Amino acid sequence: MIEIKNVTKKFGRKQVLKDVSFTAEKGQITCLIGLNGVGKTTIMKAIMALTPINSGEILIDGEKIHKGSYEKITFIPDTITMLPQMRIRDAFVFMADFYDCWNQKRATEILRFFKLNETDRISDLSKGNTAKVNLLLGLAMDVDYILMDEPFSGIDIFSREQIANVFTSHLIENRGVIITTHEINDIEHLIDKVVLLDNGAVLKEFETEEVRETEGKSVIDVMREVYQA
Amino acid sequence: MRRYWKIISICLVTILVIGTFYIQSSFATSNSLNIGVEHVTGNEDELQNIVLYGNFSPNHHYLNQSFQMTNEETIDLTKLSFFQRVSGTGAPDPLEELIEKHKNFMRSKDLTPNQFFEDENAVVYAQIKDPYDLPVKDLTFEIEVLTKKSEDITAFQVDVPQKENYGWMRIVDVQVIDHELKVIVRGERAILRVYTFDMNKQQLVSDDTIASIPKVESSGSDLSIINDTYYSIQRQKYLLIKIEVFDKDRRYIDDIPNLIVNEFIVYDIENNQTKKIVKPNEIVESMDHSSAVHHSTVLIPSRTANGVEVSQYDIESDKWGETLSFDLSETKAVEGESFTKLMSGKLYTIHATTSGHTIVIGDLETGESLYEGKLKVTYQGAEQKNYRLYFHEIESVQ
Amino acid sequence: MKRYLKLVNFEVNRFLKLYLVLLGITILSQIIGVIVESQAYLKRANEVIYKDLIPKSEFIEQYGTMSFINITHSVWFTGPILACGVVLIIYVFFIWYRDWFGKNTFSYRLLMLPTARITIYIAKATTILLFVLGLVALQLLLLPVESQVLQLVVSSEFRTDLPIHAIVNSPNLGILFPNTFIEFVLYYGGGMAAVFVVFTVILFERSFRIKGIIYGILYCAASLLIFFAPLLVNAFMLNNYLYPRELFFLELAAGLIVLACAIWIGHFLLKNKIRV
Repeated sequence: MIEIKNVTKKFGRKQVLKDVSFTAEKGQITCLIGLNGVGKTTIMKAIMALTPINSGEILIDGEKIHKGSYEKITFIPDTITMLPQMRIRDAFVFMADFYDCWNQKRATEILRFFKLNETDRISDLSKGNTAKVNLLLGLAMDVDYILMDEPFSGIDIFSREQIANVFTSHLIENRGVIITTHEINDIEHLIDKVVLLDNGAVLKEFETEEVRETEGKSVIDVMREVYQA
Repeated sequence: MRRYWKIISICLVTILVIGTFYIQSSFATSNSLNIGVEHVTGNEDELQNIVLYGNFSPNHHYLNQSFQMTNEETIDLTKLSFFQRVSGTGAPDPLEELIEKHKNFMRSKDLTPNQFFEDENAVVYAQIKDPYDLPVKDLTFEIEVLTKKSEDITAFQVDVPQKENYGWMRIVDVQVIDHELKVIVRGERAILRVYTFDMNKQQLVSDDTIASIPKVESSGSDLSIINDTYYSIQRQKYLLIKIEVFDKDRRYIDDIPNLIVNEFIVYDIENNQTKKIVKPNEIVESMDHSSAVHHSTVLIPSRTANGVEVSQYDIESDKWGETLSFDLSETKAVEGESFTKLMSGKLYTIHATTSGHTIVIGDLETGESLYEGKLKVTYQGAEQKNYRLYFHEIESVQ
Repeated sequence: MKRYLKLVNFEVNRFLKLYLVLLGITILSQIIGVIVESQAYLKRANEVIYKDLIPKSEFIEQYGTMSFINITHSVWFTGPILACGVVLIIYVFFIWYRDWFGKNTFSYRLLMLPTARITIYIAKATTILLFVLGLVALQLLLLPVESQVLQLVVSSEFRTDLPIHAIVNSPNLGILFPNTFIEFVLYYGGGMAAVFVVFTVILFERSFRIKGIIYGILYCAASLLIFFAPLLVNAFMLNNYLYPRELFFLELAAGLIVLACAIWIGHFLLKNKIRV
């Protein structure tokens, strides 16, 4: 379980996170929803210790992040985290070199699934294919938690479908996923839990199944309620 | 491993090359320059206990190596080990010895031998802080005495009398006679003065002017101590003072100015008496920094066609004695590459001839030649014919 | 440890192409320099001897013989050394900023490696050190080769052959090759301490951005102050109380303190304050 407890963060005088608390379970897909600039990416960076927080605490399976944690949790930002001059093959070598949890078999599988070519240079890839490689590098790690920042933004419709398919496949099974997005249409049916954010604060945290069953509302309905209130 | 061949080879080559270089250089340096002395006549024991300092350049080349040599070995001074260099203070030998013996007393001192005096009872140090030093201070004598037996240090300060007359002062010599401390000082406006202190009462007893330059308008002038006591902190009886006045200031004019005053004065430190040395002119003119006082005789070496002549002037009887001459077997001299030093009753001269350098040691009491040898230079294992060799100091060591 | 070595290998490979170009330029320029300078000398000799009818020996007397020292004064020789130095100094900054700037966000990847982040810092410093020492070694290898070239071009009567150790002691090269191995370690160690301080300044900037520049400058000033403290205190407060040997050990200690502080602060910033 990833626990975010009372996290606040300031950039200068601007408070970007205000007392944010929520949890993300293993085996569930948790979706952070909010307009651009409400602090979704900042929360992910904070979980990965890629940006400092001013107060609060973030625990991964009950412990603070340390170097070993990076074999257990990974982050897929919205830009690729490999050197553009590398070929996909080189990127695999790099990952295998540094991560014990790198699963080459799975990497090859996803490569085939996305119809990518090992010898292609990352800088030569189209936007959609770059996003796929980026996703691949995260998914091919045997980690318990995956954080994905806007996996669908700026990607053509076919690639979107391919990526969405990943979420229903065994590639995600049993892992905890936190995903951010500002348009949930593509994945509404996939997500287990929603955290609604605005202006650096959590407005509502709910389980999609529960809301659907007890109140008969879809995620969009809840969003409408919350944001237009 | 195959993926790492680039970095492994960079590392290997780097370590091998730099390692080999430093291993080689630690072996190679000690014998790249070697100057030996080939016996011609006399007793070779004379070469023991002297150290010669000089510079060497191979074969019309501006590469310049400073070295130190004895009859046994030549040391390249640019190649001293790091700790040898860091351990030294850069001070002349007698002060290095004092530092070894009295480490704490010697701290925070100007390491110029002129400012020290040592005898069997005490080490005395004097300094004058002047407004050019930091922190800014008025001219003040600061005197420190280390009593050897008890290792007690006493210190006292005395203002320089009439200090407003002097912009700066430098200490030329420090001497102790009984309980009197004499500090001889060169002051602004070319004046040489002596200040006498009672060391028990820690008071200034008297101050006198030893010599000063006569005031001549628009002239250049110079006052210098000839038997420079720079390397000596021992008791000394006499100072040899040279005063020159020119009709034009040398610094601003290209043509050679005329000497209008050229005086030599002997100062008897103990009795506080000065005495002018009276000509003959040609001898007095050749007086330079190689002149020395031995007992009560002023010795003035000069180069002649056949070798070196030493004129003798007896201070007490005020008379010129017999001129000693030391002949050299090789006489064709090369201009400017010779060095002469008179030291503890002996003459040491290195004479550059067309066929190499000769070293001659002579006895100043008997006028006899004690030793003559020829310098043999090998550089990088090969005997050298074309080279330049300058000597600038000879010291005796015990 | 394994990841550290892999990181070093990775960092070296990232700069290797440009580095090899630097090595190539050095080799080419210096060898051309040997030929150009030797020809210029011989041309002057010919003019003086055959046109002005001055005997050979007198020419040598006046102009000196040709030796490798003459070569080391030429721009052909010193130019590439300086260029390499400047490129490496720039690379001390670039080795960090290239991960943050531009299209890629490789800094994310580096900071998410399952290893203590100080490893990245040390690996980058090691890379710089390797490049510096590699250039030093290249220069050492080049000297005998260039001496041979000089011997081919200039006949022995006009030439003074110097051993490598004499060449290396010349004023221009003496800076690169200190006299003794201990000094070599001290000088290059001092240089590396400076690289560590600059790294930490860069991390200040990367952690606090504009404010970080001010922190970095203050930190840098503090490091310099600590490093020179023994000298300053001895000169201005203790009236030169200390002997050179004592001062040397104090300076050594001060240098080690500065080095340790740089690494420790770098470690702290990377762990707690760094921003991607």
